[in-house]
Amino acid sequence: MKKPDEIDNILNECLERIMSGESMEKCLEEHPEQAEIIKPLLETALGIKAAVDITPRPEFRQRAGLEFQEALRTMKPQKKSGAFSFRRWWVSVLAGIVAIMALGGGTVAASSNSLPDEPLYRVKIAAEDVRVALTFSEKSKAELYAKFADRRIDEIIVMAEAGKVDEINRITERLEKQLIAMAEVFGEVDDSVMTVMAGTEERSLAAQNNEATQVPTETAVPTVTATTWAPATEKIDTTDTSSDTQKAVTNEGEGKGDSEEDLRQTIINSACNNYSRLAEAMVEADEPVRQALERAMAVANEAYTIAINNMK
Amino acid sequence: MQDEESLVRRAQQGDTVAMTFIYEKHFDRLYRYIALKTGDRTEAEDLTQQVFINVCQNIKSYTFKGAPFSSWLYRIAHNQVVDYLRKKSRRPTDPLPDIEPTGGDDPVKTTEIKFEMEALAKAAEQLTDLQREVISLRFAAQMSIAEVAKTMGKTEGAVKALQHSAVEALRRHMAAEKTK
Repeated sequence: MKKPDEIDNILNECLERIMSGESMEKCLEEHPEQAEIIKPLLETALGIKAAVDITPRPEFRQRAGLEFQEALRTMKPQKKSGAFSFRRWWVSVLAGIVAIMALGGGTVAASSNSLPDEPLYRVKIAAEDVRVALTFSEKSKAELYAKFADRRIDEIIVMAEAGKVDEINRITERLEKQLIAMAEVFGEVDDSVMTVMAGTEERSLAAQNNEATQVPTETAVPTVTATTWAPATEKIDTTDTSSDTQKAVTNEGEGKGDSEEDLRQTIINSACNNYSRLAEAMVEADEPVRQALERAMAVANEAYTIAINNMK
Repeated sequence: MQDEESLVRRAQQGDTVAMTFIYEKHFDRLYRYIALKTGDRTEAEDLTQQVFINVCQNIKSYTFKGAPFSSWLYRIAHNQVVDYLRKKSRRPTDPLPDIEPTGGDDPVKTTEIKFEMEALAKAAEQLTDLQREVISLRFAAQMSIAEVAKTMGKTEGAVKALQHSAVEALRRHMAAEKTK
């Protein structure tokens, strides 16, 4: 008969091993003398574990997220003053337009569902840049960036399922750029604070795609002041921005009316939805992919937050 | 991937992204911990939220002393629950009918887990405070023995002993309930 503290240790050891995926039988086989004592305890312990495996109600999670957001708003961010990075984005856009014209509309259409590990993906990205360049309404630009961010999240999730960490990182960089570009539509973005993607200045995406087709921003992500986790309830429809483009000239510089508030809410919902989707993808991911997804979540969270705060 | 210490330091400097990471990382487990201790879903929700608000307001006062950040977080949660129970002037006696288990759409599984949860909540009333704390931290908060030990200010051996005695007590109680 072993001492009580030895039983304590064996119980805990088996419990740890079972929770790590081993079978109860295997552990008990290694402790045959104590198996009769340990087995019912392990069964009870696993019953306890199953019983407490509860999840918060979605509506509570939503409410809690919003209240937490409000609490965060009261935290004073350590913002530093920063200048805009100089952007020669018109060069990129022009090159993109030329590229798109050279490739032809059929190729662009075919590229619309392409993934980052496919040849036509560069065309898809270039088409996005051109589309932004040809949109002059600030609101429409923001809607486009939001829609493109949704696409990036779709791509990240597919790449996560395929275990392609490098691709996830590249898409995350692009996601960051597009979201920051969206934030800049509404106000300044401080470029003096660390970016979640710090250390990626070399911009491997630029190496993969033509540098000339980059999204028009080179700013880093600043510390932010708030975020939100409300689930998305609506989708942005930017399938045809031509009418917005026509209205753009008169809309530019207009005040923050209902439409901007609607857009803000849409972006909040989009942010929440995308964050949740990334979080769900993390559940089944192995460690390298999980880390890449965490980085993507950080980027999305930070950049969305900047954009949302800029819309206040 | 950022380690916990750098994340907390960023949060202390007002970085809300870091705060959000902390929130996301601990939210579910903290909720389970509080739900098990209070036996009341609505109260568990309110208390969970209040704990995070408190963390937001007080994280600058947190100092690293070797213990994991979760020790500090769960001490706040523990104190919050204690205050709640003191105000209620009673131990949790309500079952947990409103807590939604992760049984998904399978009604059989849902019913089974729900029964276990109710039985557990009832049985946990028979435990000592220390035993209940170990069960809550170990199973609901999913802490390791080392983390539980640091959070409770006990040795790992003491925590293992408490875990053993608590599981044994729960097994006896739940077995007795089944024979009724």
